Order: sequence, then C-alpha cells, then structure tokens
Amino acid sequence: MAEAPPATRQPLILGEKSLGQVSRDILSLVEGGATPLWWTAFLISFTVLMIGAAAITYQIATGVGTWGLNKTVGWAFDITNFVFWIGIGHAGTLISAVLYLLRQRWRTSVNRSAEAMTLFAVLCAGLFPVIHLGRPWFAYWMAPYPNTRGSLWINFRSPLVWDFFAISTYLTISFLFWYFGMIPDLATLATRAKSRLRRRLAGFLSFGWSGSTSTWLRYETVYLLLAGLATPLVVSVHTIVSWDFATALIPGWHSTIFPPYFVTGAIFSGFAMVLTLLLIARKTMGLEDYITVRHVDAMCKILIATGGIVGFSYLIEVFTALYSGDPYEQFAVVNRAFGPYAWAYWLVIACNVVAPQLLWFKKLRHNMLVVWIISIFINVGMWFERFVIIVTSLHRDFVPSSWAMYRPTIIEIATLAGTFGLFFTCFLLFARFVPVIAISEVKGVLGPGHRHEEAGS
Amino acid sequence: MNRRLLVAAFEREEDILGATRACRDEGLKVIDVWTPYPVHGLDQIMGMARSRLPLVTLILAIIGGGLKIWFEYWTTEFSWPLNVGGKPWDSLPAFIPVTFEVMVLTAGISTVVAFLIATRLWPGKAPLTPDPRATDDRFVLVVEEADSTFDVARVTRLLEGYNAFDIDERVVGQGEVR
Amino acid sequence: MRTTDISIDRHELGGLAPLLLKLAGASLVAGVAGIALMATVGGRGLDRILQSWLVGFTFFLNLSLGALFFVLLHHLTRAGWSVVVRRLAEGMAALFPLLALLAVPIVLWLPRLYRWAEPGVVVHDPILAGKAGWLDPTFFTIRLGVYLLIWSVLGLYLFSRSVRQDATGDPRLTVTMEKRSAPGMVLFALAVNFCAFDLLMSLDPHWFSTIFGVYLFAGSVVVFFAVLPHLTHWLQHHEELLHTVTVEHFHDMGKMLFAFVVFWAYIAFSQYMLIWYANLPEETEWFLRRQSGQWVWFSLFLAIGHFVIPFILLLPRSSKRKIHRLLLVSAWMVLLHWVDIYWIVMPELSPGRVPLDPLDLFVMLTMAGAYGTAWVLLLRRRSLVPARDPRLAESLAFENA
Repeated sequence: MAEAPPATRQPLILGEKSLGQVSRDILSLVEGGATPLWWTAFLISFTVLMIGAAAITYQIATGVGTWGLNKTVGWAFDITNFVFWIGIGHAGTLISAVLYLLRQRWRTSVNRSAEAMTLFAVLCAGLFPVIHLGRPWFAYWMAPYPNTRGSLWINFRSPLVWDFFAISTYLTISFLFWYFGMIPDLATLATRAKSRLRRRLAGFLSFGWSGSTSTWLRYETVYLLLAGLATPLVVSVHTIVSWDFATALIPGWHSTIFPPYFVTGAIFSGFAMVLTLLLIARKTMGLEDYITVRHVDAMCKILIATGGIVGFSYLIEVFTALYSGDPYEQFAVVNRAFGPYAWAYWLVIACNVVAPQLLWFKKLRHNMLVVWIISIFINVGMWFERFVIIVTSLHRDFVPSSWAMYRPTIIEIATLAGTFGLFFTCFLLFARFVPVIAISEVKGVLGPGHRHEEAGS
Repeated sequence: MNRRLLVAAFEREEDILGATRACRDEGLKVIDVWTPYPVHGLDQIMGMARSRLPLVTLILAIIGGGLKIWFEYWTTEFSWPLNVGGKPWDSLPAFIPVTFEVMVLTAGISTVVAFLIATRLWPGKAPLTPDPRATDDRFVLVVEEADSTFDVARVTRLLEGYNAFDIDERVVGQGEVR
Repeated sequence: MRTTDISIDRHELGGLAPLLLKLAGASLVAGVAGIALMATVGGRGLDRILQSWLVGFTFFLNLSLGALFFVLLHHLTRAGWSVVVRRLAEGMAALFPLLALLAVPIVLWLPRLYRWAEPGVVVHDPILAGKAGWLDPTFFTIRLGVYLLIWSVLGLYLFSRSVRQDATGDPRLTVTMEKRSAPGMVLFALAVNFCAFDLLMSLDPHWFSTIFGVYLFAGSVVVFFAVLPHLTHWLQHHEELLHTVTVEHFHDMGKMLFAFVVFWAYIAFSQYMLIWYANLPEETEWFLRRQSGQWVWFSLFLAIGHFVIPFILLLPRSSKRKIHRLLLVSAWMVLLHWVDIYWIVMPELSPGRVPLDPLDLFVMLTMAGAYGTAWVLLLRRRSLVPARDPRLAESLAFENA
C-alpha cells in the first residue's frame, strides 16, 4: 500500500490474533454446523449437478450424436469446457506451489481453498474427454497395460495420450499436495473436537500427527519438494493441453507460442475464479481478517500481469499470421475477428483485455464488488477464448465446400451447467467439513508481536 | 525401562526458542519440541541435520522417468511398431511429455511415502505427543532427566525464566512421552 | 535475524576504476586491432565482420535487456533480497545509448545481413514482396530506433531515480519507481518481442514462429544471471562489497539462473517440438538448416550445454551455495549464451558450415571493452549499492529459509 513507507511489510493477518484464536476462527466453520445459507447454496448446486448427471446419462445412452457436432466441427463444446476447467485448476497449484517457491507469504490465507478448487476443477475437466469417448466404459484403454489384443500398445506419439497422463498425474499430485498440507490441521481439528465421531475421524485422517520438530523438519522438506515438483507439473499440464491443438496443422491452432500462452491464460482464468469464490467466502464466512484487501490486491495484480501476457499473445498471433504470408493463417485471423463468430471474438477481447485494465486503479482494486464483477467478466471471457480458438479454426478450414457452423445443443449446455453444479457442490462440502484456511501456515505468519524478533544484535 | 521426563508448555514462539536454546546450552537432553506450526530456526538450535528425503525424490524421479522412456521406445519401436502419421520410430520429442509426467508422478508419490515411513506416521496412528494442545495453541518442550545430576528445581526455574507453565514431571515407558 | 555492519565496506569502485578502465580499454584496443588485422591480413570481408558484429551486438543487447528486466521485476514485485545487487544491474540497464551506437554498422550495411533489404531479391520473391511493407529498410531502422529509445528511457530513468535516492534518501522514489515499472514492463515486453522478430527472425524472412521473441527473452535473462554472480564476486573479492553480499544472495542468483535455464529449455523445446511434429515445410526449413552439415553437432552442443549440463550442475542446493561452483556454471552459461546467439544467426548466413573464426572473438573483445568502459564510467563515482533504499536492511538480513 502506497501510503505506508515501502520499507515496512504490512501484517498479513489483521486483528492481532492469538494462536488459539486462529484455530477457533477457522475451525468455527467446521465446528459450527451448517447455516441456512449453506443449505440453500448446497441444494441449488446439487440440483444443477443432478441436471448435468441426467444430461450425461442421456447422451451416454443415446450417443455423442446428441451434441451439435458435425463432420467439420468435430470438437467444440466438450473440449472448450475441458480446457476451461483445467485452466481454472491452475491457479490453485500456482498459489500453493509457485508462490511458495517465490516466498510470497500472503498465499497462506488462500492456498487451501485454491488447492481444493484445483482438485474439483480437474475432476470436472476430466469428465469431458471421458464422455466424448462415446463408450466411456472403455476409458481404461487409455492406460498402457498388457492385453489380449497382441498387446496392442497405446500411441505415445499422440497428444491425447499425453493429455491422459498429464491430467491423471495432475489430479494425483494435486490431491497429495492438498492432503499433505492439511495433515497438521486435521490434527488440530481432532484435538479440538467435542464429538467423538469427529475426533475419531479427524484423528484417523491426521495420520497421528503430533507436531514434533523432527516431524516438522521433514514435513517442510517434503512440502518444498512437492512444490518443486508441482511447479513444472502445472506448467506441463496446460502446455500439453495446448499441444492438443498446436501439434495439428489447422491454421489458428498451429502456433509455437501456444504453450506459454495457454499456461498464462490458465493462470489468468484460475485467479479470476479464485477471486469469484473467495470474495463470496470471506463475506459469508466472516474471514475478512484472514483474506484481507491486501490479498485481493495482490491477486488483482496477478490478473493484470497474466491478462497482459494473454493480450500480448493475441497481438503476437495476429501479427505473425499477417506477417507469415500464409493465406490460410491470414484467413483464420480475419475469420475470427470478422467472421460469423466475430461477436465471440470481440467478447473475448472486451472481457480479457479491456476489463482487467480497470484493475490498474487502486481504488477499483480495493472495491470488492468491482473486483468481483471483473472476475466474472474474466471467467466468461476465458471460456469464450477457448470456444473461439476451437470453433473458429475448425468451422472454416482449408476447403470452403466443407465449411459449417456449430451450435451447442441443450444437452451440451446442461452438461456444462452440471459441471458447475459438481464444482460448487464439492466446494461447499469442502467448506463445511475441512478447514478452508491452512491453520498451521497462518499461525506462522501472524506477524510482529507473535513472531520472534531478536532484539539488537 | 522407564524414563523420567520434564514437560513444559509455552505460549509464545520466542519463549520456546529461548528455552530450547538454554536447555541445549546447559547440556540437557531435549527429547523434542512440539509446536503448532513450523518454528523457523528451532531445528538448528536442536542441532538436527537436513532431511535426506530430497535424495529419495531424485532417485525415484530418475528411475520413473528412465523406465518410462524405455517403455515408450520398447512399445513403439519393438513390441508392436505401428506407423502413425508417418512419425519416425525414434520420436524422442513426442516421448518427452509422458516421460516427464510419469517422472513427476513417481517422484511425488514416493516422496510422500518416504516421509510417512521416515516419520512413522500412518492413517489411524495414535499421536505420540506430550500434550495434544501442541497442535493448537501451545509449544511443548520435553527434557529427559537423563542422570542423577539432573536438578529438577533448577531446570524448572530455568524454564520459568522463559514463561513456562504447566511444568510437569512424568515417568513413562521407552518411546513414550505421555 | 542477521544484521550486518556495512559501514566498513567501501561500496565504491574508487581505486578499482582505473584498473577496470585499463582492462576494458585493453580489450577494446585488442579487439579493434584484431578486427583490423583479420580484415587486412586475414582477408575477411565486410560481410563476415558484420555477421560477427550482429552476434556480438545481440549478446550485449541481451545482457542489458536481462538487467533491465531484473530491475523492473525487482520493483514490480517489491523484492527484498535483490536490493544489494540492484545497482550493478541498473548500470547495465542504463547502457542502451551505447548499444544504439553499436547498432549503427548493422543499420548502415543492412542488405549485407538481411536478404529482404536487397530490392533485387524481393522483386523475384512473392512472399517477400508481400512483406515489403513491414520489412522495409527505413521502417526497420525506425523500429530499431524506437526499441532502443524505449529501453534507454526506462534504463536511464530507473538508474537516475535510484541514484537520486542515494543522495536524498527519499522513500517516495521507491514508490514512484514501482509505479512506473508496471507500464515500463509492458513497453519492455513489446519492444523485446518485436526486436527479436526484426533483428534475428527476419534473417530468414520466410520463416516465422510466434514464440521466437519469448525464446530470445529467456536467453537474455539467462545471460544476465550468469554475468551477475561473476561481477558481484569480483567486486566482493576486491573488498568492495565484502559483507553486503552473502552466500544467501548468491544462492538466490543461482536459483534464478536455474529457473531461467529451465524456462529457456521449455521455450526451446516447445518451439522445436511443435515444428518437428507438424512438419510443415515453411517452418521446418529453419531447423533443417541447423540439422544439416556441421550445424548438427553445434545444435546438439547447444541443447546439452545450455540445458542438460547446467540443469544437473545447478540442481543440488550446494552448487548454488558454494560460490566457486556457481561461478563455474555461470561462466559456462555466459559462453553458451553466445553459442545460442551464434546458433540463431550464423546458420542463416553460412548454411552447412560452422564458420568459427578468431574474428568472432575480436568482435566480442571490442564490444566487451566498450561495454565495460561505459559501465565503469557510469558507476565510477556512485555507490555500488542503493545505500538508502528503504528495503536495504531487509536485503542485508536476507536468508533462504
């Protein structure tokens, strides 16, 4: 904050909390029982999830023909949703791993919920390729295992196989990271539990954590190692997602900047979703002292930075297409901006490039409502970005006689809605049963007055 | 064989750091210190060596990645060679992504497993703690009364100098603290 | 928390300045003499000299770009650890006017380096004719001037404000620099990207790769973090910065070097893999040229030397904290960055043959002499650390947890 002299670091947690107070504040959400607001939100999310489940059941029973795909546009809504959800997941790992390595201690208030978001988002994402198989009960054919078909192996040169490995690794490591970080807090939960069931359950899940220094020492080493592994992993996952497109020859897809561009876009959309959720959570759950204006401010700055890189990539794409002298590349760009899907393209520019520029102003960054609205804009913009990349490149390719239009069916829209239902249902369960903020980490950053400061010397 | 332990609780980080350092300087045998969050510098005061777990990560990463790249070559080039999209048998650039993912997967899982083995933690284990509130809002120091020269009154005074409370003498079995 | 008494350090080049100026001057004279010798006795033509010149120019341009990026990033992230070494970087980031001077020969003899600048070639090449609007000698020169102007303004601005703070101690200067750094970074990124397209990608005017600018940027940060530990250590060795910079700062420089070595590899692999996989003739020609003739070995050397070797060497914690090991690796990376630039430039102008020549060395000596002289003159009467930066104390006490 500019008013303060730049030498002083502002306290991360407000309100001069004591250690016990932190445990009480954060665990009160778990210990306090469900509020009517929680039940309302849960029932709505669960209903939406059920709608999605019905849509998925119908399309599996009937076939992929229930979607609006055609011979020209063989990939549209499902892959858009897949990339969208994977992208949402990236902020969680970024906050927990990358910011950890960069010693950004403000992350402690938000990393737990962001990691949970990652898990749920990756779950949502993973659904789409499986449904798109048409015969999802054969999904295990993606794994290389000795089989009776002469041991016909999977094709390791296929980006879709890379995807399978990337997503499953990402899900596993994200889960490990999330759970590992939660072990000390589960022990706290068990210690403080009043009911026998909760004490037993939390105690069982806390692996007998005692908090001895010899354990903490190894714990911190492993946390650092996991962060070091998760950082390249998170980059690799969206890189591989981008390769699904970029290894192809389709103009508008085959572009070498795709890997860093997709990764940044993923972080951009993920942070927007983190803000969307946390701004609601801090208000409804009374976490204003833990998720402060400063946290929001820092995340807004990340939005400006990543949004800037995304806008930069748009520019480079357009420039290079025009510069390349390749008529197909040039057409792809012109068709995006002025073709039948131009409205979507300009929506993307408005949401992803124009809207975040408002965050340059500190006044607006500190207005939670404005930030929340901008985060919604970015969520929408990033969904449409993937839609534009995927559909506009496919629907008018090399041969004009095969050009076609794509329109999603109600089933596809219901499926997308269903994943939102799944996401929010999982998140609400998480907020109800698990400490939403990393208690032990927050205790470590309580700031002067609690932290040890050696005088003089 | 039973051990006599002196257990003391503290409320603040600077007290536990000071008390631990004082005990170490006195040559007392500090069994361990239980804290609600990792206290920076405590491991150095207690003279603990850096963890060797990174070695496990490194070795398993090499093994996992190495086996995977071998497997990819073996399946695509030897076991059942299939020409897909005219790509050469030796498609190293295309083999790298999966190799990397498997490397991270094996390294990550094995690191956590190695951690659980090294710290002897498992699901459902009863915590080995002198005071369960050490996971909530207390710092707990445990000193062993190793020999007859151990002067309980003096050590108690020493600890009280660092605002210790709930100082408690216990007789416990080997490998127990409570 | 560790606190350090820095008052016993001199923090000024002082008596070292004449020595450094002598060294730089000697390098400059030896370089110019060498070039003259190669041109007359060695019979190297202007074309060959210009090729080496472009490599050398890009190398030092990248060094300054890496430094400017570091300073901008420092302000943007309000970094604590890096205050003690920031002035050294500010000095390098303020040298763009000199680089503008060094760019003159390239602009003067443009058609000798760039095919598209020869009107005769463009007429018979429909692709180049289509690009003639962008790849136009006048427009190119204007653009190059604009890039250098942007960087000069940024570099000199940050340098002057930082130096002013030494005198006034006004913490508001830090806040202003932080604020200006955000739009500065936007301009920096755009200029770096388009400069890479213009200066290097257009050596093969048919070829295009959207990631190319990022690739060059990655290299520039690598070379900066490879030079910085050497500079710091050399000054420390001469008791100028002895207590100010500790093993913790070297550790962080090592981490940054490691991170950007990996980032470079990621970008390089992404570019190669996508072009290899899609196998489109208009794209693969660029890599094919680097996989033909003697360039195969050069390319392999680059891939292994610029990624595999430093990755393995920098991975253990000890190699970032044992300063001599870090210096060894970073010296290697300085060399490999030159190899990287050479690999980008030369196959376009000398297909099939790696034209390593003493001339390359003489050009580097000339550039290093000029660059070093300017750096010393700039910092001669200044403090070598931002002495009154509000976060200096934090940087001094910094420890890797």
